Amino acid sequence: MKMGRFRGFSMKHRVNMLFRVFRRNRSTTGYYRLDRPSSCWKTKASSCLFNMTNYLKTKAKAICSSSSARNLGPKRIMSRGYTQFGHDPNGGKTESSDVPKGQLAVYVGQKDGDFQRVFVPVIYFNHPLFGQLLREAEEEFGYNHPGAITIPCRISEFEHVQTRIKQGRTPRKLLSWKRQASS
Amino acid sequence: MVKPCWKPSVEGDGSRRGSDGTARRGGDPNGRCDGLMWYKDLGSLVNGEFSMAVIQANGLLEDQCQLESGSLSFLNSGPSGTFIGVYDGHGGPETSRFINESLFQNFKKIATEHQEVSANVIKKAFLATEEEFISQVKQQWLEKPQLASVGSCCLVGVICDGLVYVANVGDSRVVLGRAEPAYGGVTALQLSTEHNASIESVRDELRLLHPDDPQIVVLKHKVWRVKGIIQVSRSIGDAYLKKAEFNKAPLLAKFRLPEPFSKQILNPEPSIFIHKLNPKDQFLIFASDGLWEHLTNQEAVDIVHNYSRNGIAKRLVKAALKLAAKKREMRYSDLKKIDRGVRRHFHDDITVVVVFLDQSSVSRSFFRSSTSVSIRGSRGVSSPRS
Repeated sequence: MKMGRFRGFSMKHRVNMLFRVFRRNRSTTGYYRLDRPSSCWKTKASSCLFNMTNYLKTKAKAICSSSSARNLGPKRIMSRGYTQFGHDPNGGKTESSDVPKGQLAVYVGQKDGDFQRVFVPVIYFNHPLFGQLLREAEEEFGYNHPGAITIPCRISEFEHVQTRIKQGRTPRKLLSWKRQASS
Repeated sequence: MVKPCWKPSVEGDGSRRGSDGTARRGGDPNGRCDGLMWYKDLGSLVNGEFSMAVIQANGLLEDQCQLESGSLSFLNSGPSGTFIGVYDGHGGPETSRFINESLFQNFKKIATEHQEVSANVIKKAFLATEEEFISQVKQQWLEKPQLASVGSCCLVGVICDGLVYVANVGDSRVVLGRAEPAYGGVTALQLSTEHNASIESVRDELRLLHPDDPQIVVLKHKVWRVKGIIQVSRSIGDAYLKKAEFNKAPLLAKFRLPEPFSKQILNPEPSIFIHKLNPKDQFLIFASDGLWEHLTNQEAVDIVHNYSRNGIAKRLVKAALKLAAKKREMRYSDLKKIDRGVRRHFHDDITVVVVFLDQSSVSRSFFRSSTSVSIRGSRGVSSPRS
């Protein structure tokens, strides 16, 4: 009975989540940074500048209204240095205050390059395509890596995987990979 | 959309689904499941009460645990007490499962032969279990050579006649909570010795034992590892690091040590510590390293001291998971959505057994024969379910 109830709840929750995500996909306010033209990132200097302005913008907005951080959050990308400086002003008192619900922060980049902080929907982690990226992360950093998960790949490669997951996300398909992943 | 469901390995499925489930609230004798968590909120035993919880992170649960209370030998007049085991496997679930099946039986057998519980009896039980497992590896060498690369940590506590025997191989830990009437708090006393290469004395011991091998401990991913492979310096199993005969084909090269060796690299011998119980000693927390990578000894005893006994092991696990979520920059509620296997990127399998030492009950010997408990932590998901 306990498990039965649990399942029912879980299913409802997931279906809800599906619809939420589905709605998001259709909306034009795409919340991934994937929607940004990649040319912005071609050169280090321009990416740095972009990071800097974006960071300042974010922080300025965050100061004006704390609720705006959520709308802005997913589009926000920062280089690692900035986020380490600014992302947890409460000294870790609250859990990941700037991360939207249902998502988590990961760092994407390659050795000696910029690591970009990207928000990823939590359920992507259960997707087999994402699993490959995680295996690479484990090989490079081990499981005991402190802090957020760091994925050692080019941001373009990472975006490609995200896009593929996103494209495959009709509810029926999602259900089938969920089933595969949990069996 | 089938959720994996755990089965406790004791008879009578605690995670039963169906119309009678509501009747099993709280007093469930065999524990229950909630997603990847298995727990037993509170149970009673000869020397007090206990609470257990296990959370699975690996695709196959590698942690195992058991609690046996009552007679500690096959003799009616023999010693009685409580036996607690926490077995944290690595490379697969086989060794920790094997220990869960055979260590207590070996202990009882040897305690019967010696007609006592002693450090020597516990050590012999460990070595007998190691020997049995290695002989299994040998038996299955041709059809299942990968068994040679599976091992486990092994932490045992035996509470008997006012003493706590702690025997440990690997990096699980037991911490005692001792009341401090002066300020109304509880202080933490670690009773186990750990064998993890992150500890300098462990590295020194290894270098001393292998003076000709400069690569005996290597820093990899900012973590010290024996031969660059494994964090623990002692274990049950890991046959390929004990005997050169298992460090070769048909064991796949990726599981092998590239160079041959003559002296065993890992040691199965437990570190044993005997603690005489003090009236101020309140409880013991046994846990695999999954808990201790997030909580300090003092944080753990404070939690046990400040909250009610019922469900305290689950509370400790949740405290660790909340910290794990914070480290990974996410919410605890979102961490729960991540499937087993992938979960390993966020935390390890975690096992917690809390034993409350109600010392007045130790002397009530007439209860001993009537209170007999045998419970094992969840077996975890062992095969895909349709």
